[in-house]
Amino acid sequence: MKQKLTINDVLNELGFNEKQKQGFVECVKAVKREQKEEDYKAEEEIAKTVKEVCSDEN
Amino acid sequence: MRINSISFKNYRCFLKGRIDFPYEPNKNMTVLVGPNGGGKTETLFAFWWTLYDYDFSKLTNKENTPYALNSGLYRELEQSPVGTTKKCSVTMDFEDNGVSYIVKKWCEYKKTEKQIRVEEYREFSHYESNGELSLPIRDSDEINKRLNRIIPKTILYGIVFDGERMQKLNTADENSLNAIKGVLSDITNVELLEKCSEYFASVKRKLNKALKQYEAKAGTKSFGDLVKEIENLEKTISKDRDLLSKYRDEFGKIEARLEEISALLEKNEEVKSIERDRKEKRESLSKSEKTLDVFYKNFSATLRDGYLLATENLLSDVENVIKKYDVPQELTVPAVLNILKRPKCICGREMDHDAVEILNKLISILPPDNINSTIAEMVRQLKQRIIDVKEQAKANYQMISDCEREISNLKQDIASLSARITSLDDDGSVASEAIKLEMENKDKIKRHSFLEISIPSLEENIKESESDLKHLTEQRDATANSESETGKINQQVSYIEKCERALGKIKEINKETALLEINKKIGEAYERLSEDATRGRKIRIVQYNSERRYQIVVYMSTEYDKLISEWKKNGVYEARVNAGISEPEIEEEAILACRDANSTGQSKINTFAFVKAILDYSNAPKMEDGIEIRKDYPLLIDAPFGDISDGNLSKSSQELHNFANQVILMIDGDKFNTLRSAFDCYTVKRYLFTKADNSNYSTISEMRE
Repeated sequence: MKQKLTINDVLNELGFNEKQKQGFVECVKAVKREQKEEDYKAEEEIAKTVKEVCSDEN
Repeated sequence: MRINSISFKNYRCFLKGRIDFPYEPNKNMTVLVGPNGGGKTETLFAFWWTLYDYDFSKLTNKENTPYALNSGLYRELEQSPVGTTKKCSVTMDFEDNGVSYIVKKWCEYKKTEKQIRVEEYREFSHYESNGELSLPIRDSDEINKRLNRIIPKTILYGIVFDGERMQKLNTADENSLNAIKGVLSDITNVELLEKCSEYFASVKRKLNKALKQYEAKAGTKSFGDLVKEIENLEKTISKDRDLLSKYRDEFGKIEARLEEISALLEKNEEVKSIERDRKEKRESLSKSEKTLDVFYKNFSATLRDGYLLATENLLSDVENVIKKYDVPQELTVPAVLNILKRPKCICGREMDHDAVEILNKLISILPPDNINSTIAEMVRQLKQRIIDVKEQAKANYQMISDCEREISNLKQDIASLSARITSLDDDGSVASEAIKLEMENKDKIKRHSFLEISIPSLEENIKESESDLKHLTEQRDATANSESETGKINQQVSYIEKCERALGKIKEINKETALLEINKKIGEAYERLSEDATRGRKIRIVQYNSERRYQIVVYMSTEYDKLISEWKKNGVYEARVNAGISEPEIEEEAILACRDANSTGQSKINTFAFVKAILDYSNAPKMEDGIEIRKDYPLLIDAPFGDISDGNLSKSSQELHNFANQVILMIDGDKFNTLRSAFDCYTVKRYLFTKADNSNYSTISEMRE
């Protein structure tokens, strides 16, 4: 599907490395999961993912 | 999502009734057949009303019954005595992702003096995995939140239609455009991107807050400055320590020499008695100096309680207040409570409402029992303590004065004894050795005094420098830690900002690609549903033109092709490209320039194509790591075939079962008989709505073959 390439293209264009790309997709997935699951807290997951992506950079 | 059943009680034209929507393989339709006014539209909007809300005054020709209660019952209530109530309810049973839900809405209408007051209630529950029904949720916001996850309100504009809305959706009015925009937002999951942005912004806010806290903790000095400062301080301390050690050595040596001199002088016959005297005085002086030191310390300790002296006036004020507002000892909260418990007052009078109210007020203002005496005792003790402190300070001051005087006298005595030794030379019989010793003694004493002052001062300096060093080291460590932490946080913030930029771009691209995809699907649907498509008529949802965005337009492909080739020939096309306008945008301009008008029937076919496109789009498989979510919505449609004729009618009626996994069709008897062959084989159940004679209600019964 064209859209998958587009997201990937956008991330490449903005200079995301593989780990950062994966982190971004994880964040989107967390919000997607929150839309389906009642008690899931996407914001907390996003904070964790961001920390994890950046800790690997150090 | 799948609707399993709906049941009514006193709702609109139904006094009672239930419709089941079963599913069988290859059969996905439920058909509700009834005459005009038989309850088809009422049923359609019952779904809307139960799930969210519905303004019944919007129903054409029913403006005089803008309420959910059956109109007969409503009129009955109007004639009833004040306080009479009537209730209506709708219960809907549906499932989504393998979970069954029940949503029930009911209204209670109550006749009051002036009007009929209505209270609205809704509850939402689901079946647990063990088959038990959960406790109902009654909070409206919470219910909406949960329903929104399953079937958002905006999507209802794309899956719930009566004939009038089908026709209107094509018009360029604001409501229709907003409805289409809402439906597209839902199926392309714009909410997901907005939520992502919201959460990224929130995480960034928290990180920035932490950053500020670290910066505040670290202070204003940089790590490098602190390191330099520490190095300098360490050098100073080291120098001071060396000097202290030197002074201490010298001090020890001087003390030893002074003792030696004293011993030598004691051996000399002429100065023997003077030196003994002087030695005694020196010992007394040393003792007095130590005593004075103790007195100073005692005086300082007394001064620490000096703050009490400042409270003296305040305590007097407190005492006066206590005296002024003295509450009788017997008037306590339990005493008043005891009076309240009695049926009559102690004076024998009945306890009326006013008396009870006054006593309750008294309870609220009465101080806790014995509070006055407790405060008075605390004040007394503090005042006594003030007197003690004053006396102690006075006594210590007196002792210091006495001691200082004594020290001064001793110093004078020592000085005169020293003068006597050196003056012995005057009569010419002096032992020159003794004089020499005394001169040395004088010098040594001078140096001794200097060292006596310098050593403690140097010790104090070193102590202070060491404390500064400790503080600076801590600050240096905190700054180092903070610089490392702030570095980490800054990295996270810049990553979030990158993600936010990505979201913004994806949002734009997603909207564009989704609409392109939906336009492709609406085109395909139109080909299948409209006989005009075979004559070259095409359909499109406006994508780029800001004034007409989301409007559904139709155009003749021949005219469009002609216009495009004309634009290419006369340079208009190229000029537009050179002006930075993309080809799809120019093509849309051409479509809008040759858009075609619609008849009522054609408008309905356009809506059919739109509905088919959005249902196909939302029900199509989605990528796991993509933005969208697959959603399987039902279609609820009332009287869709009016004004549609010929090929359009046969095509749309034959295609209807293909629109969604569940189709609920409401249709009048004549149309049903004409068209049933098109969808009979896909129909699981048929229901017949019958209007009761000379009454304002209908009945629901299952139609048998």
